[in-house]
Parts: sequence; structure tokens; C-alpha cells
Amino acid sequence: MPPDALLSPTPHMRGVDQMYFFALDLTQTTIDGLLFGSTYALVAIGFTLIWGLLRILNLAHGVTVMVGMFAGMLSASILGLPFYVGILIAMSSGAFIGFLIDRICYRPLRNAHELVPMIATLGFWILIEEVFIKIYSHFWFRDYVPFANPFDGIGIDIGEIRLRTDYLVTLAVAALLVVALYFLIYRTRLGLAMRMIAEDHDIGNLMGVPVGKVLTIAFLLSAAYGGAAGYLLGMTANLAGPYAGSQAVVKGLFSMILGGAGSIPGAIVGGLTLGVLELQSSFLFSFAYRDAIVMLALFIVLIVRPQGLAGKRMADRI
Amino acid sequence: MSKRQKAEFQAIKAFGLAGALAVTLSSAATSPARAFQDEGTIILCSIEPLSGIGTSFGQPNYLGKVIAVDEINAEGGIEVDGKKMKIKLISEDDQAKPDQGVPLFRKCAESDNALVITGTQYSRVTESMWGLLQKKLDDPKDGGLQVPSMSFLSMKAGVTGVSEWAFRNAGDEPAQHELAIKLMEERYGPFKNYSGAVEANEGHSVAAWKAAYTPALDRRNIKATEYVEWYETDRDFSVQIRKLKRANTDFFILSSHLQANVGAMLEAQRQGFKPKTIISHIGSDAAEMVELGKQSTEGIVFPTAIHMAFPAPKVKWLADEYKKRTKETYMPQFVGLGYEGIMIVKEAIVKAGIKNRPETLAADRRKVRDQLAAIRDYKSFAGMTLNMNANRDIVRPVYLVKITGGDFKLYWTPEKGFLF
Repeated sequence: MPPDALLSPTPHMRGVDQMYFFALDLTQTTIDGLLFGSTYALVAIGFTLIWGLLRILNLAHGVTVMVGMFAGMLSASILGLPFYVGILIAMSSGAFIGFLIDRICYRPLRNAHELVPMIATLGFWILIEEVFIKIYSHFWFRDYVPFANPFDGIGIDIGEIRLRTDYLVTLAVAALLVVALYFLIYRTRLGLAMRMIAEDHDIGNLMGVPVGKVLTIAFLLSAAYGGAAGYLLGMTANLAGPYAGSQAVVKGLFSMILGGAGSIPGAIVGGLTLGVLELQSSFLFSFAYRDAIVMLALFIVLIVRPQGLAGKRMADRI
Repeated sequence: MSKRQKAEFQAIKAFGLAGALAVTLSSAATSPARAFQDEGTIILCSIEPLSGIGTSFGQPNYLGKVIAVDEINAEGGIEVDGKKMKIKLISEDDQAKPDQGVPLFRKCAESDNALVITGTQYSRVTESMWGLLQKKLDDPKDGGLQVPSMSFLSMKAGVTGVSEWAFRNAGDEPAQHELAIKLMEERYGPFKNYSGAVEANEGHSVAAWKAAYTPALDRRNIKATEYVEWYETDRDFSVQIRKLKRANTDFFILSSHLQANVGAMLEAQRQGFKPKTIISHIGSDAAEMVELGKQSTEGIVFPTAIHMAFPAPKVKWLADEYKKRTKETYMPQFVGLGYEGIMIVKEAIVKAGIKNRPETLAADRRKVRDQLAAIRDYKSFAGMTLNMNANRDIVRPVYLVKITGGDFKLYWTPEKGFLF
């Protein structure tokens, strides 16, 4: 295929060319969607961990994404630290926020109705975001700040399909974190304790599991994953903005419900599916209907499989 | 209750009390400012996005106003009823959210008793705020607010049609884009494929496409080869850019703001999509375009009302003052529009012959409103002559800016044509 042919305007293409480009773009869009969706999956895992253990929606999870993004931006763009150090800093910053969420929104309210801590996380989210926006606007005179992306402009070409390196790195980090989480849950005593608590807190208590400590660790872990997602979202977009948390909450919750609430495989499937759905609906139909199509897909899934794409019908906690 | 639970309960109680105290203090801080008028102060309100989405537009615009107010007050203020009165500028942050802007507008009008409300920037917010105003003057059936309001930025075509109390100093956008397209065609044409990208959740961008760009293409009997949309919060633009590239776009209309422009143009760079010409609107006039977009935004052309490279000495002074106060290196046009807007309001106040007393507020507002509607041959600090048209839009000349060498360069002026 001569290079110029790749630039042929759609209306003037011959039928064969049109088919060829359609198939090419369909494949490229699917791959981009899967790769981009891995960040959604990471956000969804954070929601899933807390939902699986406590049956509360931690609406403050978006704050961990935002803080992770800015910690990453500071480490990458201002301090010039390498990628892997930046990710660790972002995760640690996220974990610190997770600790605060546990101490402020959950622990003091753990005996209250389950809606109460959820509302507390909502309040925490709004409070922190508003305060952060004020501080941000004081220091930065603009909507976004640059986030150094060491992989920008680099890609792997497979024929005419291009894989963005930063998207591949995102997928790799997400996969590594998922494997680590699986190891922790299914191969360690802590994981055993988590699984026990997920079934019943009282039984866990009777069996001598320090429920409070395990839940704190779960908050730290969930928030660290949020911090990692924040770093990756900022890096792939080349910028950091104070509203990243709000956007992440919507995408993360959607991914969790689509994949199956409380299921880690579900969070992964949900995140990747959302990535593909968003891009393919723009490609195949129109951007104007993107969100409507995605919502329609969610309704259909919930009607056909109320437990989500990868969730189990009963007791599908961690 | 265990000791620990008691401690936690105490902590929550303290937190609640602190919250209640904060609410009380903030209420006190926003209590009516009526007293200022008796103390010899003219109250103007300023509403714009000072934080969050829109900071890039709101902050510079606000600073332009502050610089103007500081200058007027340093000269002793405005002479009203034989007495010099200083301007008190009350600032509010709408965060580019209509639901935040509407109550702020009401507060400015009813609690602060502002003589004039300036703002806001995002058309969607301005339009919502102006919805509170009386639609037609002297309509006894319409109990809407009667306070003159002037936006120095909202670009949505026809936005002042909401009320006869609404004014704008932002320029005639359809005329701006018609001129930009015409000049680019003359210089770089002919073009084969015109395509557009629109920020679908932003009223100004949608309106610019429908009311300015599409009619301009219609006049040329051109149908857009490709049309794509995105949101200001989107972070992946791969599908849209691929479509534009497949359409062999050589004239690209970027009806979108910097929040999405940067990501989209970076994606264009990744995919090797480089049309011969890219034109955009006022939403591209922000330092982020070059700082975040770097090479990818090179060559974008957009219209401007005031540029820091204008030869008028006062423009240079304003740019220096802005840079000194912000440590920024580039002064976007919103600074000049903010500064100029306050000076226009000042002239209207002087000519209106107001009393500036609580009991004359309604009459004073009406007098200032009528003076704003009657602006003719106003000499701007930037050197041009301005006139208010029948739609309450200030008519002003158009200039073009081009992003070149990582900077915003004045590219075309009515007097000299293309500068490079």
C-alpha cells in the first residue's frame, strides 16, 4: 500500500480500499480501547476492593486518583524522577489519602448504617477537591499543568497498526499490579483474612482476625491503586488537572458495575470493555452518541446479567 | 460507649462545630455591602471562573479588571455627584458552572447592590446568569433583575439577546471567522477538504460551529469533508484524529478550547496529521497551548481583539503590569478585554450622572445601562475605536494571531495585512 493511499479521503476511496481502511481502523481502535481501558480497570479495582470487603461505595476514591496524578506530575515534571520512582510516589500518596479516608470516613462510622460512611466519603471527596482546587489555582494560573511523558511519541508498529508505548506501559503496570493483588489475596495470610472478612466481619472477629487493621490495609491498597491510575492517566494525557478525580469516579464506578461489583476480574473486564466501547462507539457511530451507547450497553448487560460481565450471581466478593 | 468511640465522637463533634463556625464566618463575609455606597464607594461585581475549568480565561480577565480598578482608584476614583468615589470590585468565582454562577449573579445584584455586574466568561454560564435579568426594558410584567451586566468574553453568537440589560465586549465571532477563513484561503488556498472538530459540551464551541463556521462554509458551497466531536474532559482523541486524517483534511477548523485542543493536537502529532491550515477561536488563546502542546500546536491561527504586540504604549504597559503581577510571560487577550471593559464601564458611569445612593440605585443602574447602550466612537487604550451595536455587542476590528516558534505572534492586522 503506497503511503499516499493511506491519506485518501473517504468519499473518493474505492470499495476495496474502504473495506481495507475500515478493517484497519476497527482493529486499531479496538487495541487503543483495550490499552486505554486498563487505566479504567485500575480505578475500578480500587472501588472493588472496598465494595468487596465493606459493601460501601468509597466515593472518595477519585481523590486518590487526583492526588496520585499530582504527586506523579511533581515527581516527573518538576523533580525529573524516573517513571518507576514516580509510580511508587503516586501510589504512596494515594495510600496516604486512603489512610485518611479510613480514619475519617469509615472507622468512626463503622457501626452506623452503611449509607452513612458512603455519604461521608462523598463529603470527603467534595471537601478535598474544593480545597485542592483553591490551592491549585493559587499556585498554577491555568487549567492544566504539563505531565512529563517519557514514552510520548514512541510506538511499536505492527504492519500499519501502531501501539503507543505509553499505553503499553500503562497496560503492563496495570497487569503487574493485578498479578500482585492476586498473589496477595490468594497466597498470603493477609489475603486469607481479607477473604474471610469479605464473607462476614463477625466470623473474622471470632476467628481472631484483626478486622480493623485488615480494613485499613485494604483502604491503603485500594488507594495506592488509585494513585497508580492517577499517574498513568496523567502521563498518557501529558497533563494533570484538578478535576481528574471526578472523572475517574464516573469511569471507575461504571467499569466496576459493568464487570461485576466486588469482583476483581470483573473490574478488569469492565475497565477494558469501557475503553473499547467508548472508542468504538465514536468510530462506528458518532461521538455524539458515545455516552448514550455506553449507557445502553450497561443497561443491556445489567438486564441480561445483573451480576455484570464477569461477576458471580451470589456472594461474589473478593 | 468505649473510650475510643468517645474520642472519635468528640472528634466528629469538633469537626462539625468547626464546619458550623466556617459557615457562620463565610456568611458574615458575604453579608450585604450596602454600606459601601454610603461610604463613597461605587460597587462593581466581577464574576468569572477563578478556579477549576476556565481558570485560564477567568484569572487573566479578572486581573485585567483589577489593574484597571487600581489605576482608577490611584487617580482618586470616579467623580460622582461632585465627589470622587473609589471603585470597590467584588470578585466571585463561578468555576465555569452555571449552577454556581446564577446564585452569585443574584447575590451581586440583590445583596451586594452592585451598580454593574461584569462577567462571566463561559457562554453557558453567562447565558444562565442573564436569564435572571428583565428581558425587555420597562416591561411591567417581567420581574427580572434590572442591573446592567457586561461580559468581556462570552463568545457565543447572539448571547446578549437574552436581555436588554446584557452587553458584551468580545467581538463579532461570525465576522471574525469569516475573515480568518478568507485570509487563509487567499494565502494558502485552494483547499480541497475542509473538516471541523467541535467541543460538544461547550456552548461557545458548538455555537461557533453552527453560527460562524458552517455559514462561512455554506457561503462557499462547501460541505465539511469530516466532522468530529469531543469533550473538554476527554483524554483520548485517537478515533477523531484518525477520521480527520483519513478525510485528507487540509483546512482544519478547531472549534474547541485549550482543554481539549492540547490533547487532540498531541494526538495529531502522533498520527502525523498535519493539515495545511488550522484555524481556531478565542479558546486557543492560553499559554497552555504552547506549554503543553509544544510542537503540536504550531501554526494554529485564531482571531484576537487585543494583542500584547500592539504598538499602543498603554498595551505594553498593561502587558508589563500583568507579567509583573503574575510572573507569566504571555498576556492573553482576556487581560486587555478585562481592562478595557472596566474603562468602558467607568466612562458610562461618568456620563450617566449617577447619585450612587441606596435610594437611587435602581435609577442609577438604568442610567448606566442607557449609557452603555449609547457607546459611540469610544477610544480604546489599545488604539482602536469601538461602537456598541443594536444587539448590545461592541463592534471592534479583528486581528489574527499565529502560534509560531512556541509563541503567540501577531499575524495579520487590518492596517498592515500579514506581518510574516
